[in-house]
Amino acid sequence: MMPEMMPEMMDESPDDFRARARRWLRDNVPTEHPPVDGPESRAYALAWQQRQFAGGWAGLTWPRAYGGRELPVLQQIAWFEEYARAHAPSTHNALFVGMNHAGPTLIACGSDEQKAFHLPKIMQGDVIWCQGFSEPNSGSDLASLRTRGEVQGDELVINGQKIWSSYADIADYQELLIRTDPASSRHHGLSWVICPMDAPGITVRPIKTMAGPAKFAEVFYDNVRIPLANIVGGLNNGWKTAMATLSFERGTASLALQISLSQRVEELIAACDDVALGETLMDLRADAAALRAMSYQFAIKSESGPVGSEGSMIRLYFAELAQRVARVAIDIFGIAAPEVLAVHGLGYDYFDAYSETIAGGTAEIQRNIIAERVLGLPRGSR
Amino acid sequence: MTMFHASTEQLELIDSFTRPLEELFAPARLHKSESDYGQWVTGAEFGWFGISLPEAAGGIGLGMVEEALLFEKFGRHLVTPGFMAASLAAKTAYLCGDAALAQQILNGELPVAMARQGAPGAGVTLVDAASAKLCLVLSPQGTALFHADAVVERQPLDAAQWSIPLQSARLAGNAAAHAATQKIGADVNLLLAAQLTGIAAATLDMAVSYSLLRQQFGAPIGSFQAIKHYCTDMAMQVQAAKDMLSFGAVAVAEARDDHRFQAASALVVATRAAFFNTAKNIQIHGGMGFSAECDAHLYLKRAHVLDTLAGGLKASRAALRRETSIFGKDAA
Repeated sequence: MMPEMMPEMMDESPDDFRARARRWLRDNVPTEHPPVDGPESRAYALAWQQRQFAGGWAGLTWPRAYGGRELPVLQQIAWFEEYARAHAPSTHNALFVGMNHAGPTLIACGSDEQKAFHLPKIMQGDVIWCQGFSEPNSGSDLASLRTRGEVQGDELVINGQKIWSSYADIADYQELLIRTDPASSRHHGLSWVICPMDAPGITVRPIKTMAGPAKFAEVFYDNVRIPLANIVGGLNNGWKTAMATLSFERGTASLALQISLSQRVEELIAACDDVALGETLMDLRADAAALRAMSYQFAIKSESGPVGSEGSMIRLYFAELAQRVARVAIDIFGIAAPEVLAVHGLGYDYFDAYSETIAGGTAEIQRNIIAERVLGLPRGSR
Repeated sequence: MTMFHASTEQLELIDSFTRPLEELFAPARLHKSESDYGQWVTGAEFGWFGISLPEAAGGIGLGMVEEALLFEKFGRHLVTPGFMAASLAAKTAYLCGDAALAQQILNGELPVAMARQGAPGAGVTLVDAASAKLCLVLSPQGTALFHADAVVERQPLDAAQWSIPLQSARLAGNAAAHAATQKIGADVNLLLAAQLTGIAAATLDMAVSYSLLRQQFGAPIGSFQAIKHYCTDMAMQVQAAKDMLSFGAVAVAEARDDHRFQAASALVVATRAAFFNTAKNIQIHGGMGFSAECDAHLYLKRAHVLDTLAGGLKASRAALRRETSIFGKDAA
């Protein structure tokens, strides 16, 4: 199914594009709150994605060959800005991995068959993806992972365990990083595979986060058989594919969230009459403006080629700013206010923000990466 | 094509335009001589005072993006705030229709000093003013250009402490400004932010170089996580300040609706970046950083002087509070 191509989309000016986005969002943003976890959250996320796709707003920068719109990144940014202003559902939902990790990774490293099969499904809101990188003994030291895939004929037989896999209980597919060369160590001999979550031998145990919902999970693999054709980027070449995934996570994946921070800060400023918090709020306001300036710069640069590790810097700046914003909201309203206690309220945001400096590489690992790859400082012991 | 950031061409142009800074304005010069007025004519000859004024008015005919990039370089080299005074004075005179006065400032005949007045009638703080013929006074009321004689009762403050000559003074009761304007507040914020950004960037470079050079426990200190993380924090401050400055300068140059908001944000971000980085640079340099022979303290002190000219971080935040974000409730 292709969205109807409206004639006014051709040669539309940036202002007209923005105005059309604003109108569409005004008429289409769901008024009911997103459910926090479980099958209801899946249904909600997919329905919202389907509505955006039908309106022509999904996959704005994705290749046209796979149903995307292939628009300049500035239009993507304009869409996210209007999205934030319209209070549309947070992009940090069950669609996040598909839209921001798996999809971009497939675009960069996938085969034509993989792209043709999966990208339209992600964009149209047919499927949910989850991530399977971390293991109980492989967190910051991801390259030490031990979940194994043994090549048997044209299949991989997978045994092992993953953890902190967000939305694994409601996902259709998983981006799964495993060791496929048993003689290998560290980042050699890994493979990035598309794992169907309904494959026999998979057990998912949801885990509640400190914010309340059972948003992530442990995943156990007991002789799970997956076709070799599901490997993305080549057998034993998974580290390179995973680094592509993480470069999206640390790059443009959070663009919508980065931009929405300015909106959140403005709402806090409007709600706060406590003079003592005024200076803190102005620092947050200025820092959110700087984050927006950095996001624009990074997104525009990323259009003309790989941008390198400076995306890590913006991702980390965002993570720590998001935590400061979430925290000051509690200071403004107090822990007993209805705004804080509500489902998906400020209390939920505050607790959830603690994940920002852990997920996708802890703040400390990010700092090592930035110091070594951007500043050129020597590697040392951790 | 809508621009949001300085272009590669603009960056390269300013790089070539400021090449003489390396030789003429090495920061270590301030250990010997704290005033830059010996280089006043040089600054005028290079066209550094009128970069964003039209060529017909004696300027270079570029815009605020180029001027912001130029002053970022000035910040890196701890160039006297007098150069900012000259640029703002020429612009103030030009906007008030006094083309002859603007021309005299641009060709270096009338050196200008920078001053800050907290409120009408209050005293002023004067920076590096001994040879100045004019005084550019920043205050919450805007930008006003006075004859140097109008700034009276000058008391030298302990010059050695801030590594630049400082005076306290007041405006004579009958003093009338040659020219005054409230229209260039965003330009003022950008030039201050640019110099503070330059200071943050220079101290990051200095800290990284020293971390690679200095050996302890048989390894460069930059291989230790504690030092790496300080350097990364400094790099994030620089990235934020630079991108905010560039984004703000383009907003001002293109007269976008929110250009005042962007320029005020740039000042708050750059001031905090400069204070953070100059302090961490001293810490990373250890005992050397605490010594007067090291350049590290020069950057810290200049950050304080520029912050004082801005009216202080408290005032910069209060000024940002008065602006409207495009994400605000009342915004269109």
